[in-house]
Amino acid sequence: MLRTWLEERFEIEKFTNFLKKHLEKPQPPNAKGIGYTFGGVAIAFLLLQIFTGIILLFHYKPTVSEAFDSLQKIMLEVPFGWLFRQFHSWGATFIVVLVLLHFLKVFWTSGYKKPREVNWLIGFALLLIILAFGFTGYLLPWNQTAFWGTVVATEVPSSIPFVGEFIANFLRGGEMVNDSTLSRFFVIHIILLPLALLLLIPIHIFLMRYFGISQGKKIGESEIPESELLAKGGEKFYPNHFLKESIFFYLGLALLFTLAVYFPIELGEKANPFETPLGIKPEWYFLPIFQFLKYFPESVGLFILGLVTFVIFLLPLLDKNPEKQNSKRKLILTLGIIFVFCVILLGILGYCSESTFTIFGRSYHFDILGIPYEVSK
Amino acid sequence: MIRRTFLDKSISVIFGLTATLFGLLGFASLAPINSKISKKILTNSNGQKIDLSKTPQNSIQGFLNGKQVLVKKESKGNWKAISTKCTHLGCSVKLNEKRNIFSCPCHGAEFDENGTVIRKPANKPLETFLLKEQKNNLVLVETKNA
Repeated sequence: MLRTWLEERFEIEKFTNFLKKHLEKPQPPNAKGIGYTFGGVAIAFLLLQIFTGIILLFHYKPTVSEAFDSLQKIMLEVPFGWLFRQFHSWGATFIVVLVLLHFLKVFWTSGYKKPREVNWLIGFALLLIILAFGFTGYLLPWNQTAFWGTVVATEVPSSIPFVGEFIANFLRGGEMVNDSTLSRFFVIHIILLPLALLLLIPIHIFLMRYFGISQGKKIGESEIPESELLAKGGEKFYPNHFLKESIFFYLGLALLFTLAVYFPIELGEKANPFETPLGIKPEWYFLPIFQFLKYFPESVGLFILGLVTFVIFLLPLLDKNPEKQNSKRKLILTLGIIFVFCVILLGILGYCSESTFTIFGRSYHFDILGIPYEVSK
Repeated sequence: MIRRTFLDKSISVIFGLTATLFGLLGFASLAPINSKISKKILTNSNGQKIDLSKTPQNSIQGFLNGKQVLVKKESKGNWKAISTKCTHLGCSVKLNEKRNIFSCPCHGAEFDENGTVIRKPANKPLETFLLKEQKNNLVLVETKNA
């Protein structure tokens, strides 16, 4: 009855046919592996993150005096508040992992090469937005680690010659991390970054659908046209590929629930601007940058970091090799593997630095640079 | 045709300028607001002037020139303040009374009692200030190491 009512007013058939055509759009035969589900699963977790974020917003108060207490209330008094907060905190980690894996998959399968360069640029901007979500959201609980982590992070740009102090003060809204910082991080986290995502994700998906998934063909070999994909071993996005993504999403959801219940992220102590606690460290995904900056004078470290980011951003324009087959891209793949290895190593050093660990019954203290020294018990 | 092109371009320019203007105004509104309280007077964390008659100590924690400071009495009417903001990455240094040094809990930098660096990664000394008593308040006279 409702359908008839709508059909009398709109061309429903036209719309459903359009939707069906796009849902059933075939994927190339090479796009059957796990790697091709990372992007879709990341979007599913992003939707979950938006949902849990909205629930938290009903109870969270973004002021210096109330933020921590409102979070405590969410954890202790709001029905299922603890679950939503844990989902939101762990969910951030899930999204960063998925987006990074998706990014590496695109690099590995030459998905950034002609004609898909623009989509790489948009994808990289999306990666930076996801990291900015993590950075701004980290301060919102207004606990000791969040407060001092933000003090250190917002102080980093101040070493840039001439404009550094201005950038640092602009980020914080003053000379110190205070209520202005909390307000602007809150607005960036819940309004500006989601708006940027809403703008860029549809363009990213549109371009992916427009150009199709890279088929990694040899030079001179043309990609299989869409009309022949199914006959040549491809599969429909819906239901085939969608089903795979759904399975991975639910497996992820089960893992998220397990982590939320068995490994909850503690709220810690309320921020105290007069006392820096020991062992201040950022979120795990900023550890490589945090550790890298320890080895260089601040401005030099920032310059190298900026340069590396810029090179990765412009990779499709800098990598002039038209080959999409990995056997003919040895140089760029080797550089990529070395880069990933360095990032992981820096992350591990950052995690271990200024901490003592017992390894095979012996205690080692890792100094600020991550160098271990044996210590007697 | 020329009139149409002119109209199209005019619309683009007008809309572009409007968006730019609002963007710039919005950006300007985000500039840090300077505190109305004089930065030259020692205050507490709420920005209220510290009244010496109600603070009968020789060592006071407060804010000066937008920075957290530890103030000590040097002689009658003369006080010396040292910024507790580490010059490396902004953490709050702690006074180690046994060794009479300031140490940073974030990255291990150390400074002597005058703020001079004795252990990296900090490169610059802690900021120090000379203060004078004026009507039960402490007023900044000179800034060093800035």
